[in-house]
Amino acid sequence: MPERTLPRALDTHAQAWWNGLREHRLLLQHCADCDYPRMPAGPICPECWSERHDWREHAGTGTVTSFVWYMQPLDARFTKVPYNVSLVALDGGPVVVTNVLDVAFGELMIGDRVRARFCDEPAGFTSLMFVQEKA
Amino acid sequence: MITPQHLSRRVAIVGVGMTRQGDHGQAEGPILAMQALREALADAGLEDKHRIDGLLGAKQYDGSGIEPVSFCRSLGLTPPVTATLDYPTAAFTMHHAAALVTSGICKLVAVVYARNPTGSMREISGAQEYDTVHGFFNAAAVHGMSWNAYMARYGTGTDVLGRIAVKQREHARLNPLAAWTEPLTMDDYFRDEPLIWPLRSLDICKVTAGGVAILVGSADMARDCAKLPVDFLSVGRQATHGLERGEQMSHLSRREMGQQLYGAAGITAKDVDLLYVYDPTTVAVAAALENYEFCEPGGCEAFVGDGERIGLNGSLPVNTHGGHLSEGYLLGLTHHVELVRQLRGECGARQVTGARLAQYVGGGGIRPQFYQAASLFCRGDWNA
Repeated sequence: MPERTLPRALDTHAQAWWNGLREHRLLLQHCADCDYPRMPAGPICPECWSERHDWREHAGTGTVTSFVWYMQPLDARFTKVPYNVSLVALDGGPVVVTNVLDVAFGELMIGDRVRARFCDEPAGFTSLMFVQEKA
Repeated sequence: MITPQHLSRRVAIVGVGMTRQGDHGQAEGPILAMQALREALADAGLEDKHRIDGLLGAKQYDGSGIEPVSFCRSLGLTPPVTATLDYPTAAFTMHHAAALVTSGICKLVAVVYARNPTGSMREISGAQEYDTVHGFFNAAAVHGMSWNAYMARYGTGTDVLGRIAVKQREHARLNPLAAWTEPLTMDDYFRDEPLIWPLRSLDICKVTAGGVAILVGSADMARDCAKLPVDFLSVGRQATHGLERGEQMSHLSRREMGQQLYGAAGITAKDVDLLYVYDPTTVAVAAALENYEFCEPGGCEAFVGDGERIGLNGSLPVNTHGGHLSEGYLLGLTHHVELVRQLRGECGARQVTGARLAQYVGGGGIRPQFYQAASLFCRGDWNA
């Protein structure tokens, strides 16, 4: 069984997000009327209720706002521990749930600056991961 | 949004019942629920099961629980109102029962829940799957993220979480219905390796089998019942956006809700005699102490101290039955059974003397939006 899989019920509104990741681009759905970035993607702007949207490329930079480390396997698909699940606040945008890669337990800190890394997965899609921005 | 409700003591808990929590072999959920409901009716002194004119069930994310229509059919009940809420932890379902009674739609609502999940007493609870791309599993992870942010903000550690786990176990050891009664020390807590860092297994409740039933009735109905009613004084509700908008599950943005809750009842946090917190993790308890003004933001560790303050002889006994962490997990409904029995004086070795006011704090709705709810209850003979 592949480790990382797409959500079982893939929202059609998110298709452009996944298509963008496949091209190693971070595309965010913005309201075409009030510019609000929708996360997750959807048919209605949750701020102004506009039905119009467009997709805009994001630079892929952000800040870690919190994280946990899975120290023991809780699921048969994710047995390589420890691994973190992190919240990253994209610059000027929403918070995404992600993994920060190439970092050891104890080396990840809230407030760390991170940038996107696009990972082509064996299951045939591309995931949005992050790595720390080092000086 | 904040919607305080002063219920003017027009609705009360008039009967409670619950089974032992823990391992029930192959017993089916509806049987455990029936046993609890039979006990609740006897507790209320009601012989006619058809007095129940509303029945609220609840289901877990794994589908286990009580589906009210089929349950009523099994028990030969025909209440005109049945429902299951989308986020069914106890505060929400109890508020729904209170609303049915105060509106006059129902006179006696039974809130019923039971489950016998696989892995009882072993598997950690909250096993839903949020994200198969990143391996984001279990509700406890959301609490872990909250606590990590809290530690970074206030420079604290996990000692206070251990104190909470140890104290609740101490309470469970005096509770004949509790699933976990082995002694637990701080040494045991620190020896427990992190599971979802910063949380240990001992910070996270396990699934258990058991049944619970609570009868919610009008003030008129309460006069027909056998025991002292426990009145709803006030309730508070709040919903916020979820993780994607930067909210933390248990974090310190809820203090205004406590102000509304106490304001509606004309009391302050200092008047609360007993505190019951829906505790899928120890983090929920620590957060409730700050969110509801029992202590200042960042002050829960100093408040809890060595744990005596939240013990049976402390100024604020918390989860006197052991909570989900040590008694067993049934959506917070068992906390209501305990607060009723404490306020009536039926708790034997773990009885807190002179308790008149009890507060319940609950939460739910994990990823898309966060919901918080709280209730204040008092003895039926208490005069403010």
